[in-house]
Amino acid sequence: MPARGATGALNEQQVLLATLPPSLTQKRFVLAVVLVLFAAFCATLPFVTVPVGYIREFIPAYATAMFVISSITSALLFVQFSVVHLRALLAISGGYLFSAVMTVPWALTFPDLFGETDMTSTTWGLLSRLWHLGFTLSFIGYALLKDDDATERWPRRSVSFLVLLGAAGALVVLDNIAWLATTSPLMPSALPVSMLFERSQSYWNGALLLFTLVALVLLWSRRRSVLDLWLIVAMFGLLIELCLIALVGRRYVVGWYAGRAYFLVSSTLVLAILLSETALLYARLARSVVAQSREREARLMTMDILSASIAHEMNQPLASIVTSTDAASRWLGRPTPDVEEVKAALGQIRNSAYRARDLIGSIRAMVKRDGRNRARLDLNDLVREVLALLGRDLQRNRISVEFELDESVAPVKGDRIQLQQVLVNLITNAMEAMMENKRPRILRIKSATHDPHGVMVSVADTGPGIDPAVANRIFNPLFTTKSSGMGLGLAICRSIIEGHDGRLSVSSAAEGGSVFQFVLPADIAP
Amino acid sequence: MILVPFHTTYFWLVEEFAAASDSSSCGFTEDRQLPDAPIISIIDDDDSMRCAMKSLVTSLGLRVHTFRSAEEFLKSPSVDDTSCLITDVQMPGLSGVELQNLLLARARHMPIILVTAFPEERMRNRAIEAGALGFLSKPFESQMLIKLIEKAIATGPKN
Repeated sequence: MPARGATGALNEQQVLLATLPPSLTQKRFVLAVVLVLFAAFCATLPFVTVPVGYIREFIPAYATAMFVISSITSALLFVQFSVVHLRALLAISGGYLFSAVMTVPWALTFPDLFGETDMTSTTWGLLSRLWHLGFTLSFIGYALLKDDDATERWPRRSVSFLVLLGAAGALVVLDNIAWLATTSPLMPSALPVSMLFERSQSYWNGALLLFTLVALVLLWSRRRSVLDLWLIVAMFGLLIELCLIALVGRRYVVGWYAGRAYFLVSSTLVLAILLSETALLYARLARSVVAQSREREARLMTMDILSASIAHEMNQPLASIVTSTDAASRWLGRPTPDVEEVKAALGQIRNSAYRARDLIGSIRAMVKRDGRNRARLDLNDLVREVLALLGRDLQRNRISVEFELDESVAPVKGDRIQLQQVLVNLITNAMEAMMENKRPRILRIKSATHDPHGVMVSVADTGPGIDPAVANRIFNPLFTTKSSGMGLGLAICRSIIEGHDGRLSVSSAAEGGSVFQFVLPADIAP
Repeated sequence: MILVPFHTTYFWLVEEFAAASDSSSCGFTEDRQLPDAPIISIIDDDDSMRCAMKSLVTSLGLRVHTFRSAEEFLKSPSVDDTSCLITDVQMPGLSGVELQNLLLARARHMPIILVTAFPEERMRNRAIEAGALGFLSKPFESQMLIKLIEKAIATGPKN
C-alpha cells in the first residue's frame, strides 16, 4: 500500500484555519458544495428570465442577512489575523467589513424602496458594482499576499492600529457612498457621472466578472489551507450571482433573485464553516491542553520518578550489604572474633541481596505485566497523541517534526500507557540528542507495515548519532551517555517492546543522527 | 502497583520486613553494648539498613539506640543524651532535614550525620549549611561514617 505522506512542522500551522492544510474529507466537501452550486446555477438557466414580480421584503432581508454574515465573517477573520499577523488575512477581513458596510447604503438606495428615479437607479447600480468590486479586490489581495514569508508578518504591536485603520477606511468609504446616494439625485453635476455609468454598464459587468475570475484562479492556484478552499466557494457564489445578473439584465425575474440567493448561500456556508471549524479547533485545543498537563504529570510520575524510585529502592539493600559487610569484618577483626554478630550480619547481607533480587523481579513484572491492560490500538494514533503531548517541548527546543505515517498499518495489541512511554522516551532522547545541534533539528517519525505481520515505527533525529563502539550496549540498564539520568530509559523501552513480543533496535541515519525503531506484531482480527 | 514514588508509599518488601522485625532487636548486637560508652542514635525506616548501621557502630564499642522515625526519636529520652545522631533523610513523617531544623529550633545541638539513598545537591547544601556534620549517600563507605562518628564524639554534645 502506498504511504500517505503527511509532512509538516507541528506548530500553529496545524491549529489555525488560515494555515491548516485541508483534509481529504474537507476537500471533497468543498468540491461537493461547488458542484451543487453549479448544478443549481445550471438548473436555473432555462428560467432566468421568467418574471417573479416585486417582492418588497427581498432587498431589506437580503441586505440585513449579508450585513450580519459579512460582519461576523470579518470579525472571525480579524481574530485569525491578530494571531498570525498575515497581511492577507487583514485584506480579506477588510473585504468582508467593506461588504458589510456597503449593504447599508446599497439597500437604502434601492429604487423601489424609496421611489424609482434615474438617479436612485444609477446610484444603486453603481453601489452594487462598487460593493462587488471592493469585495473581489480584497480576495485578489488575499490571494496575492497569502504566501508572504512569515518574516514579513507585521509586528504584534501595530495590530490594534491596523484593525482601527481597516475599520476607519471602510467607514470613510461608507460615508462617501451615503453622501453620494443622498445628494447626487439633487445635484445636477452628478448627472454626467450617472450617464457615464449607464453607458458603461456592460464594461462594469465585464470588469467585475474578470476580477472575480482572476480572484478564483489565483485562489485556486495558491490554495493551501482550509480557509482558501472556502474562500473559493465564496468567490464561486459571487461569480454565479454576477453571471445571472449579467445574463438577465433586469429586475424581478428568477435569475435576479436566484443569483443573490446563491451568493447568500455561499457566504452563509463560508461563515458556518468558519464558525464550526473554529469551535472544533477550540475543542481540540482544549483537549490537547488538558491531555498535555495530564501527560506531564504522568510522565513525571513515570520515567523520572520511576528511575529515582528504582535508584532509591536499589540503594537501600546495597547500602545495607556494604555496611553489614564492614560490620562483619570488624566483629571478626576483634581480639576475640564475635561469631554471633558475624552470623547476624551475614543474615542481613543475604536478606538484602534477596530484596534486591525481588526488586529487580518486580521491575520486570511491572514492565511485562501481561494481558490486563492490553487492547487493540493504532500506533499512528499513539504517535499523534505523543507528538501533541510533547508539542510544547518540541517547539521550545525549536525542533521541527516530520512525520510520515502509513495509515494502512494494521492495529497492534498492547498496553497504551507502556507504548506511549516508549514513544515519549524515544522522542525525548532524540530531542536531547539534538540539543547541541548546529544543523537543523529535525525529528522524523515514520510508521510502516513490516514484513510479514508486523508494524514498524521509527524515530530519527539529526543529532550526533551513536558511537558504533557503544551501539550494542545502549540498551543495557544503567548505560548512559547523558550527564544526568539513570540510564534506565532505553532498557525499560526494550523491556516493554520485548514484553509485547516486539523488537527495538537502533541504526545510524544516512544523513547523520540515529534511528530508533521498533516492530510490533500486528493484531490480525480473528 | 508494586513500585510507586518513594515519598508516598513504600515498597511492599519493606513493609513485610518491618512486620517481621522488631525495631529494638537486630540480631545479637543488643548484649554487646558497653554501659558507659557514648550513645549514638540511629534513625532509619529501612530495617536492614538500621540494623547494619547498629552492628557497625556497636562494633566500635559504642552504645546504639535505634528508631524507625524522627517522631519516635523525639519522644525518647535519647534526645537528651545522644552524642551523635545518624538519620536517614527520606522517611515517613518528619524527614531527616526537618528533624535537623527542629532540633536546632529546640536548641538541641548534637552532631548530626545525614544519610540518603536519594542524594540531591540542594538538600546536601542545605543540610551542611544548617550545621550537619556529614551528608552521606547510600551506599557509603563504612570508614567515612566511622570517621564522622569519631569526630562527633571528640567534639562531644554541644549542650
